[in-house]
Amino acid sequence: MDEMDRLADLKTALYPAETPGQRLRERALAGIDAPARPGWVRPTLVAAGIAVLAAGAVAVGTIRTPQSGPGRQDTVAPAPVVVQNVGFTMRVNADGSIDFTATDLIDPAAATAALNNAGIAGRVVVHRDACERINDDDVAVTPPKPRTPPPSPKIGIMGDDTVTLRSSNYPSGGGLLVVIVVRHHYPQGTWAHVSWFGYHDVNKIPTCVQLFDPGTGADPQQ
Amino acid sequence: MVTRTEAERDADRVTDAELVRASWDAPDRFGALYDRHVNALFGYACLRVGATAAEDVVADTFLAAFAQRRRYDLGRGSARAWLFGILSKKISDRGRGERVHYRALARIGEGRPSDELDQRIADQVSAQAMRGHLADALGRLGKADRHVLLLVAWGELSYDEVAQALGIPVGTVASRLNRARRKVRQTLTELESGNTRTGDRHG
Repeated sequence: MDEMDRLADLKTALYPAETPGQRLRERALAGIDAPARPGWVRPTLVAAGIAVLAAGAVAVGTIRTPQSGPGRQDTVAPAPVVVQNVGFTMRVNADGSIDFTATDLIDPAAATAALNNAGIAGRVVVHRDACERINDDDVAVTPPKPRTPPPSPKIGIMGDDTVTLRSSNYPSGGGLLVVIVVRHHYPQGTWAHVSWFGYHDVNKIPTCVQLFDPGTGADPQQ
Repeated sequence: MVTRTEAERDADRVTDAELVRASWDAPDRFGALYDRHVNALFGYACLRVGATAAEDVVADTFLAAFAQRRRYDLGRGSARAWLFGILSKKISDRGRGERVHYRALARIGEGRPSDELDQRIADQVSAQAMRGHLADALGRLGKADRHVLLLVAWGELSYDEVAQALGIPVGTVASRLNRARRKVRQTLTELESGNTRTGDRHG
C-alpha cells in the first residue's frame, strides 16, 4: 500500500458520518442578512463633492458649449467630452461623472492620464496573475451594483463593459482603483470587465492587481 | 417518494458562476451555493482539523466567500476550487491547530486515543498504528506541500483545481505533490523501522 492508498484509508476511517447541521448553515450564511457595508458618508465633504461636480460641469461647458448665447444661458446641457483610445473610451458627462468603457487590452497609463485629467484621482490597471490582491482595509467604497452583464458561461462571455465613475466615489485624499480584466475567448471574441474601488488613500492604490482570489486563479486566457 | 419540483430541477441546471452572479443582486441565492458544496468542505475540514474546528473554518470560509463574491471569476463555472482555496487559507490561519489535530491522531497509533476524538472514530480505526504514523508524517510536512497533497488525496481535486485553489501554476502542483509524497514515504519508513527522527519538523 503506497502513501496515497494509506491516505485514502485514513480518509475512509475518519470521514465524518454526520452532515453539517442547521447551526453551521446559520453561521456560514450570516453575511446574507447582515446590513450592507455603508458607503462613505462624511457631511463636511459632501459640499466639496458638489463643488467638484460643479467645477467639472463648468470645465466641460468651457470646452464644448460654444453654442451658449443670448437666450440659451446655462439651459443647454453641455456636450460630453469623449476621449478614445484603442481598448477604452472615456466619456465625461455634464455632471462631472465619467463613463469608462473597456473594450480590449488597454493602455493603463493612457487611461490613468485620461482619468486624472477628467478630475478623478486614482489609477487604471489591468488585472494580472501573481500581482497584489486588494486589501479590503484600504477600500472605502465599493460599487453598490454589479457592473457586468449576466454571465453565460455555456456560450462564453464577451463584449465590452462600462462603469460610471465619480469623484464622490472616494473620500478626500483618496482615489479610484479601476481594474480591467480582459479575456480572449476563441472563437467568440474578447470580453472585458471593469471594476472600481474607492480607496481611502490615493497613495495606497496598487500598481499591479490580481482582482480575483487565489481560490479562483485568474486569466488563463492571457 | 419525494417528487422534485421544476424549480429544484432548474436550480440544478444553474452553474455555480450563475449562482454567484445572481447573489450580487439577490444575496439569498448564495444559500444554494452553500448547499451544493458544504458537505465536501465540511468532510475535508474534519479530516484536517477535527470536527469541532471544522465548523469554525467552514463557517469562516462561506462568510469570506460571500463577502468576496463580487471578485469571483465568473468565467469559472464551478466554485469548488475557489471554495477549497478559501478553506485552505482558513485552515492555515489557524496556525498550530492542524498539527495539534495530527498529533492527536498520531496518539491513536500509540494506543492513547485523544479525548477530542469520539469513540466512533476510535472504533473505526483498525490499523491504528499505521494510521498514527501517517498522521505523524502529515504533521511533519511543510504547509504548502501538505495543502497540495491533501487537496488531491482527501479533497479529490484535480491538478488544475488545486492550481486554481492555491493560485499556483499546475507545474508547481505536480512538483509539490511529488515532494510531499516522497517526504511522507520517507517518514513512514523511518517511523515504521523505529528510526524516529525528532527534528526536521515544519509548520
